[in-house]
Amino acid sequence: MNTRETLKQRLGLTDADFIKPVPQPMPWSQAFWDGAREGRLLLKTCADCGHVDHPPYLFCTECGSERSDWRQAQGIATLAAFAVNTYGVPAAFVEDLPFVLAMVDLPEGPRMISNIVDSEPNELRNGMALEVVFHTRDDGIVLPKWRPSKQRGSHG
Amino acid sequence: MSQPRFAIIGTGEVPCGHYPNRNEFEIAYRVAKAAVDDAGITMKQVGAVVTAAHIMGSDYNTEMFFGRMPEAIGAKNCRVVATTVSGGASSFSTRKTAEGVLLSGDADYVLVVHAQRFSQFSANEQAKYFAVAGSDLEWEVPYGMTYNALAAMLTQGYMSSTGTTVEQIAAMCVACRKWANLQPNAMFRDKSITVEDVLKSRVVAWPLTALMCNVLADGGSAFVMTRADLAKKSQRPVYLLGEGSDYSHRSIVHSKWRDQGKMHEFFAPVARKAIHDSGIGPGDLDLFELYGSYPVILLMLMDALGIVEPGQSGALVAAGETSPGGRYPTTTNGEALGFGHTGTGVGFSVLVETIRQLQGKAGAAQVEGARFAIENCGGGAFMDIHFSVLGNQIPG
Ligand SMILES: [Zn+2]
Repeated sequence: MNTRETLKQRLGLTDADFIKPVPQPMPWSQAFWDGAREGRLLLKTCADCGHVDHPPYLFCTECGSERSDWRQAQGIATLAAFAVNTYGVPAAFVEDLPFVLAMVDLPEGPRMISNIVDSEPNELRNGMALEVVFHTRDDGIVLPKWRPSKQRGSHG
Repeated sequence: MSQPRFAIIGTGEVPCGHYPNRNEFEIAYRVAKAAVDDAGITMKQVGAVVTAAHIMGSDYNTEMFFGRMPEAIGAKNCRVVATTVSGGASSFSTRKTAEGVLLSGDADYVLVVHAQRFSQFSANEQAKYFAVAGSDLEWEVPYGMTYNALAAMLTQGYMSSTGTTVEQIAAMCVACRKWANLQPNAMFRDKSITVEDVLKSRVVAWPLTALMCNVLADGGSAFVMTRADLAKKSQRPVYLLGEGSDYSHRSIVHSKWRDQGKMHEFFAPVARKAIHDSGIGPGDLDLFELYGSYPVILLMLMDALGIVEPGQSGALVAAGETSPGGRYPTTTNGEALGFGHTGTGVGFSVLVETIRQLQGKAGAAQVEGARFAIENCGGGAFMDIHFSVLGNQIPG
């Protein structure tokens, strides 16, 4: 019996419990997810003061302006901290275990929570250089994730 | 310093653990009655009842919002009822509400009550709830983020930044457990653990093992608050001498600190304000009743208190200095890690233990001669910090 059937039997779960949560965009964040589907990492940039907000709000958190542009990020980041989920996750993620969660810092300013992929956890070091990859889930949702940069070293 | 305005004069508590058949209103009634008895007043003297909603909504919350509590505990002369909640910081927000009621003159005695029954929810319901509760629904949950993973990232970042070892992280769990072993109401009162046990337990979210993560439990506690002038009539009043608060973020990506080794820089000014306003010196603190919910947060809180150089708290803990008999008795009820995690209630149980200690009623865990304590709580995904300094005397 596979993991899913075992869990369903043991915990009384249904197929619905294995549906992964879907990002529910706000009117002011829709462009980020549209960009991700096209393989572009877009950041909400204030048209008045230039501040980059991510995750974004309706307004600029620095100057309060409601005017903004979506600008493409460089697609690079630095690993700030990470963890490896191995147990105790919601049923929808059990079949993915183990997987890496991380805080990554973008040179444009924002910090993001994401997964680090295409690497072994023991290769990861805080401060290492990362590059974005766009991962299409089985349900069609595209999530920007990160992997160690092909160019070695830190972005500084 | 200015004279204190408020005091806590009695507490109540029930055993923490898995009690699926114990209704929330049964818990509420038991802890409310115990607190009123301990305060030396009667339920008819209670002029206001303030409750904390519990985490993971249920019929109990609805009942509270619709005014069940005063009726359910027999507070017949209650004129003010309110539910205030700020997650893990609810012991702070209910206390602030009580302060407002006391200042308004609408009540002389405010009864604050918390009850929680997690065992009505399945393991998957709890896992799903705490994935969402600790993380951003749009930006983090789709990545498989969980509360334990958040704490694990902070732990990994702190260890990497400060050189704290995983053995020192484990030592924090052992210190909490040693206190819990002295507490009759603690979930883990009967079982002792070693650093080796902690490190060998199942990895949940590396670098965190199962014994580095708290366990959700059923429980509850209550306390009676009054004005400092009225408290003089009480047997063993504990005065609220100084307080401080700050807010950081909803999502950890917006936290006011970036380096996980520097979280103490967010905590420290708040602790200093509470200590300053209390009129005592840092050297006067006899008790450090800290609430971190994960071992690394307890170390970060200690880093903020000026006991050791920031980043060195792990060594202090590993040397046994925060354990029973140590120079810096810390979290003497065993905290979420040893006492059990009752959702919005951990801060309540830490505060209640602080009062018990300062009243000299802490039993086997009693720190002899304790006069002044610093206590904290915080909620969300480490969204805020609230320190208070309490004393069984007014510094002169
Ligand atoms: Zn702006």
